[in-house]
Amino acid sequence: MQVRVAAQRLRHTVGWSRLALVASLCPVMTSGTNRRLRWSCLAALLLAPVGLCANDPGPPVRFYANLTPEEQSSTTISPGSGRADFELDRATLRFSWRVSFKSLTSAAIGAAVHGPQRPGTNAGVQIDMGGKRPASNLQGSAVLTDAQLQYLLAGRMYVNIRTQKYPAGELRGQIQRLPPAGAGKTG
Amino acid sequence: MLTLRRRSLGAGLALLLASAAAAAPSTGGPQTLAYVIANFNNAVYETQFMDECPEGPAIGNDEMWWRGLSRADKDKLTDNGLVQPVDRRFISVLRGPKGEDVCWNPTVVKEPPLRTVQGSVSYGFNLDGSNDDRATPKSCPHRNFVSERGAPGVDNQMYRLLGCHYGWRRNGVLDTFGNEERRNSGRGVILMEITNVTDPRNSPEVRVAFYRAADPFSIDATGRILPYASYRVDSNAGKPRYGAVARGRIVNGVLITEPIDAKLPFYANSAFAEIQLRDMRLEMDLTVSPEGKVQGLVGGYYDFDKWWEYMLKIEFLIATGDWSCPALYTAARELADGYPDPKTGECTAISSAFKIDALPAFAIHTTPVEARR
Amino acid sequence: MMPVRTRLGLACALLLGAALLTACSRSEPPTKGGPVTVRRLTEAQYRNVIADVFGPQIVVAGRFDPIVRTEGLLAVGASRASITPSGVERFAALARSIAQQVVAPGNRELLIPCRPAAPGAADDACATKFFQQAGRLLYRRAVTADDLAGPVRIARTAALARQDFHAGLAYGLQGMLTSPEFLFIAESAEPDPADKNLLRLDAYSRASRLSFMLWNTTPDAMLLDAAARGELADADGVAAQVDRLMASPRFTQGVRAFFTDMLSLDDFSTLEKDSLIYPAFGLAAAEDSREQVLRTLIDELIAREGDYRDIFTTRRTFMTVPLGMVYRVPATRPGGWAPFEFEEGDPRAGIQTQLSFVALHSHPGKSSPTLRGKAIRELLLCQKVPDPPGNVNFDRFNDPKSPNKTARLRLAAHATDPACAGCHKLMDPIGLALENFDGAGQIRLTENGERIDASGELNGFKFADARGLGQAMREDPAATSCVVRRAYTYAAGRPIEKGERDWMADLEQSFADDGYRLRPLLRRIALSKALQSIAKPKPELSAGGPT
Repeated sequence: MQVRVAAQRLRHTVGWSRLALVASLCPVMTSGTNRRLRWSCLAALLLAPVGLCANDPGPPVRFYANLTPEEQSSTTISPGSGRADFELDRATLRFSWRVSFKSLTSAAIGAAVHGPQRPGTNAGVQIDMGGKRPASNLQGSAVLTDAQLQYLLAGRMYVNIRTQKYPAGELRGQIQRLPPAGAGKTG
Repeated sequence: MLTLRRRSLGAGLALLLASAAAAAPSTGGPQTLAYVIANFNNAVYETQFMDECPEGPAIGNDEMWWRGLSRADKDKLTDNGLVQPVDRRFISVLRGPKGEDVCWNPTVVKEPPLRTVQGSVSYGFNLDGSNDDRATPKSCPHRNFVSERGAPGVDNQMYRLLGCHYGWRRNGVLDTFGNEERRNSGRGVILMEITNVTDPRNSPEVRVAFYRAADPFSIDATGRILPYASYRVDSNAGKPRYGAVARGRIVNGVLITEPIDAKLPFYANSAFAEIQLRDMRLEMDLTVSPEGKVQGLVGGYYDFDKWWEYMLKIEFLIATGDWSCPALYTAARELADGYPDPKTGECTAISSAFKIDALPAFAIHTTPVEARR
Repeated sequence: MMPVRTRLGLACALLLGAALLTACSRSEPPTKGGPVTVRRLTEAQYRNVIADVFGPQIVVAGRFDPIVRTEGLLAVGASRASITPSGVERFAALARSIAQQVVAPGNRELLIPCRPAAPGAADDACATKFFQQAGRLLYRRAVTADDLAGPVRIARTAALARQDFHAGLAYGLQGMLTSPEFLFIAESAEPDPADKNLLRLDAYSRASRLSFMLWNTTPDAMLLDAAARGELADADGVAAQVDRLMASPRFTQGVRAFFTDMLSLDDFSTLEKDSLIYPAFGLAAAEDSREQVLRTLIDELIAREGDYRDIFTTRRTFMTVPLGMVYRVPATRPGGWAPFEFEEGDPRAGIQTQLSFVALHSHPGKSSPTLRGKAIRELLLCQKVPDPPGNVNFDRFNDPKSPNKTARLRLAAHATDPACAGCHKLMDPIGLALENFDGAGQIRLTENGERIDASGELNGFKFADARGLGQAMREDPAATSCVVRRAYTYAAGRPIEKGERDWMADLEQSFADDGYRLRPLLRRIALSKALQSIAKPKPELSAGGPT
C-alpha cells in the first residue's frame, strides 16, 4: 500500500509528461562517471518548477478552525481556546491535522471532526483525531472518502474537543478554508 | 441472397435513421426538428477542490443569523442545536432591525461581502463582444472569463455570483430538485422547434422557436424521460404563449442561434418563472447520445428584476440552497453587467449561461379552431 | 335459313338472357350442415352481455377461465370449453357481485320493473316479473315456468331469511347467472321444412348466432321479438334483422371482436418487453398498439369499405403519443388518437409491420423471425405450422458470443439442418423480411453493426423487404381465403365441415367478386343457409340394434 501510494504521489507530483521530457533530455550514458551525471541531470529536472507538467494536481488545500466555547451550547463555560490547522493532499485525499488547545476546564477525552452540519447544529463523528486521551499539539491524518471531501468543501465539518466536564463538547470550531496567499478578495 | 431492390429502403429510411434527431422521413423538402428541454441548470464550472472559491463556500442565511445571536438566544432558538437549519429557516430570515424579512428587504442589514468566484474559467458566451473588462454600450465594466475551451471574453456574472453556493453546484440540489419537479409536473417545459432544416448536419439558415409544451413528459418505469414524444405548443386562441424565434444555422451538427431578446417559460422548485434574457443565444450539439439526449448551452443577459423575483419565490429553500439574501443581492447589484439604465447607469441584467439537456420530440401546432374547443 | 331480323332478335334475347343470368346472384351451393354447438361465453361476451342487460355502470371484476384456441379462433375453442371447479367459483363470485349491484339502490329503480308489496318480505309476483324480463335476455330465449321456478323459490327463501326482498332477489339472480343456460350458448335444431335431409337452427339459436357474430353480445329485445314472431324462419326476416344489426354502430364492436380473435390480440395481456432494452415500449404503448391495429382495420374495411388485401400495404394508421415514441413519428392529438399516414417509400406499410404484429410476436429483448413467420402463416394465411420437436436446442441461436451478427445468419442452421428445415422454411423467410423491426417494433437498418438483409420469398413471390412482403401477401390467395374461412368458422363456432367445401369455394369467389370488401362477406355469411343448417345426427348403433 505504501509503495503504491508513494508511486502514485510520484506520478502525480512529477507527471508523465515531465518524465517523458526528462527521459528525452537526460542523455543515456554507459560509463560510471556518466551515470552520476545522468542522475544529477534527472534530479535537477525532477525538482524543476511545477509548470513543466500538465498532470500536477496542485499544492495542498489548507483549512483551519478556531476553537472556542462560543460555538457550543451556552451552558458551556470555559476559558479554553484552540486552533486546528489542516492540509489536504489533492492526489491522495490525505487530510492531515495539527490541533492545539489550552486552558481546558478538565482533561480532554475526545477530539474529532464532525459533520455534515452547519454552525449551531450537531452532527456525528466523521474522523476521530485523538483517541480517548488527546493531548494538545495533536497530529495525525486520515484519507477522506468522497463524501467527506464534499462535506469539507461545503464548509460543513467542524472540530469538537470533548472534556470530562463537558462530555458533549467544550471547544468547537467550524472548519474553514484558508485562502492561498495572494488570493483575490471578493468583488 | 441478393437484395435486388434496396431502393425501397431508400431515401426515407436512410434519412430517418441517419439524421441526428427525430424527423418524418424527408420527401426532399426542408425538415423540422423539435426538442424538449429536460434539464436546465446554471452552468457552473467546478474544479475538484473548489479552487475557484479560495475563501470557501458562500455563507448562508442560517449562519449569518446564528452568528448574530447571543449565546443564550442561540440555545433557545435552536433548542440546543436540535432544530435543523431547514426547520428554523422561517425565523432566520426575519433578522432585519425591525424584524423584517431580509430577502424582501435585502438592504436593511449589512453583511460581509459575498464570497464570489475567483477562478478564471467559466462556461458561457461572449455577450458584449468584448474581451476586456471595460464598459461597452450594452455592458458595465466587469471581469471576463475564459471558456473551458480557452476562448476569451466569456461574460457570466451569474456564475461569479452563484458559483460558490453549494446549492447551485453539482452536488447541490436546487437545480436537481427543480429539474425533477419539472419532469414530474410537466410545468414550465421549453419546447424548441427548428424549421427550414435542409440538412441535419449543415443548414445555413434555420429558424428556432422557443415555445412552452402543453403536454407532460412521457416517463418510463425508471423515471427517465422518453424521446420522440409529441407535445402541443401551448397556445391561447391559436397564438403560442411563448414564441421567441431566433435565426440560426447548423454547422457540423451543432445548432447556433443569433442573439434575440426572449422570454423562456420556466418552472422549478414550486415556482413559475419567466427567464427574460436579452441577447439570448443557444449552442446545441444535435448528435443524440445513446440515452436519447442532446446537450447545449443557453446564454444571455438575465433581467435582474425577473431573476430576483424567482429568488424570492424560492426563499423557502434558503436553508437547502444555503444563500444569504442581503449578501447575494448586494453583490448582484454590483456585479450586474448588462444594459445600463440610462438614468442611473446601474446595469439592469446579469450575464448568465445555462446547461441544457434536451430530447428529440415532435411539436404539434393546434389550429385556432381546435384551440377554441 | 333464319331471316336476319330473327337472327338478330335471337342474338339479343341470348345476350339479354346471359346478362340477366350473370346479374342474378349465384345460388348458394348446398351443404350437408354441421353440428349444433354449445359455446361457453368468452370474457368479452360476458362483459358485453352484463353491460347490455344491466347497464355499463355494473362493475365486472374477476378472472375468467381461459379458452383454448382451436382452429385458430377462441370462438371455436369456446365450443370445446368447459368450466373447471375453480372456474365455477369464479363465476359464482362474479355472479354474486353483479347481483348485489343490480339490486342496490340507484340501480334497482332502473332494472327491477316492479316494487315489492313489502320491502322486508318475499314477493313472488314481482320476483317472477323481474326474472322473466332478465331471464329472457340472459338465457337468450323465452323463459319457461321451469326456468323461473328455481330462482323464484330461492328469492323467496332468501327474502324471508334476510327479511329483505331485494337481498332475496339478488340470490335468485345469482342463481341465474351461474346457470349453464346463461354461461353456455347452447343451440338447438328443428326440422327444416325445405329439406327433409337437414335440420336447421331454431329461431332463438339463430338469433344468438347472428348476434354474437355481428355484435359479440346477447340478442337484443328486438332480435328476440323477431325470433319469437317466427320472422327468422324466412330469408326476408333474417335480412331485415341482419341489416339492422350491421347498420348499428355496435357492428364495429363485433368486427373488432372478430379481428381480436383472428389476430390473437388477447396475447397482449401477457406481453412483456425488457424495459432496459426497449424503454419506450411501456404499458401504454402495448395497450395502444392493440387498439391501433383494430382502428386501422375498422377504418380500412368498414369506414372506407376497402379491399381486404389493402391491409397488407396500407400506409394509413392511427397514432397516440406512446405509439409515436416507438415509431418516432408525431402524434398530432396528444391524449388521444390521431390519423397518421407513413410517407411513400416507408417500409412501415401494412398491419404486418405494426407493433401489434412485430412486437407481439417477438421475444422480450429481441426480434424473432420464426415467431413472426409463424404468426403470419397461421393468423393471416391460415396455414398451420407443426409444433417444434421437444428436444430442440436454442443455444446456438441465443449465443451472445456468436460471430453471426444478424438473425438471418444465426438462423442459418434452420435452413441447413434437415430436422429443422422442413418447418422453418415455412416461417423464417417470411419473418426475416421483418427484421428491420426490432423486438419492440422499432425500425432499424443494422443489427450488431451488420446491415440487415430483409429479402425473402412467400409461396414463390420474391421480395426485398417488408414492403415487398406486404405486396406478396396481397397477391397470395391464401390471405383472402383465410379471412373468409375464419369469418365463417367464427360465426358458426365450429370448424368447417367436409360437406361445406363447395360453399367455401363459392364464398371465396363472391368475396373476390365483391372487391374483397368485408361488409358484403359478413352479410353473405349471416344470411347464408349454411350458417343455419344442422346435420341430422347419425343413428347410434347400440347393443340393442337400431331403434
